[in-house]
Amino acid sequence: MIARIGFVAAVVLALAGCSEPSQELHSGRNTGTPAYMGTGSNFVAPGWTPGDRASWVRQLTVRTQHGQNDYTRM
Amino acid sequence: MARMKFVCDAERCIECNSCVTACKNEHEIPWGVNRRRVVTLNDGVPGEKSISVACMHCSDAPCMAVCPVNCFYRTDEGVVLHNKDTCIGCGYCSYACPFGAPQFPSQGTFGVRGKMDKCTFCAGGPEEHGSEAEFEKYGRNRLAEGKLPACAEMCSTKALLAGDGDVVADIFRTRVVQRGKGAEVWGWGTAYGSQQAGQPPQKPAGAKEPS
Repeated sequence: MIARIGFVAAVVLALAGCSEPSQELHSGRNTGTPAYMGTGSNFVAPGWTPGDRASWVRQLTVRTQHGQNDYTRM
Repeated sequence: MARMKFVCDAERCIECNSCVTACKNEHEIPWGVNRRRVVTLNDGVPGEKSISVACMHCSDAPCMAVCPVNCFYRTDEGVVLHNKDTCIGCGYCSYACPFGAPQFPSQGTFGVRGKMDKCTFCAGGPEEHGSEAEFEKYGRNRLAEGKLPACAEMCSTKALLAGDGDVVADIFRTRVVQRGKGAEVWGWGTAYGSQQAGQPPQKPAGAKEPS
């Protein structure tokens, strides 16, 4: 009995060296929150609802067309 | 929404550097770091062209591929950002980038590069939007404020367009059709693939050159 326990203990000890931590790349990457969630500050452009992705996309599209497309203003 | 993209219209750029100034002012960028630069080709020669260059937020970004600590990430809008807490300042991204976008502060102790800095498309970083920590590390987060990048919004001739790729491409296409020239968009082929405006079509493998 003692020999058997000793054998099991020896096997467990020997195999403990075979375990290996995962070598996958972990960068702990923090990608933050989506931009459409807003900043909560007073500098947010009016005309859209923070947290509503559709209204944020619409706001940027309107702003692009209004601010950068000369041909819509001619 | 498509991906966020920059277009610089070389027919309109007058090399005024207002985009550079707007960027530096908006994000309080230190001396020695220019997230955006104006490059003039054939300077002094009649017909010279200027373009405003910064990170193009490439579809298949080389900086992301070479970063040994995997500090880069891409937002849902296609903006390539990086985490300065993870960056080790090795400079690999600087060598890999075809646009010279990654910049390093010049006053590092014992020649240490410090944390890499680059254009964020005014989208801040992984910190809380609008927080002091985000501003200190990455500058203003204008996208989260419902605004577009400061460089494009300040451009006096609207040569620099920034926004949804479909929308800015439509604006640029209208201009080209109206003026009948200047369809080349330098950098688009490199950043977003070769099947872009102004780029020759790809030849299939094994195709012969016309004699």
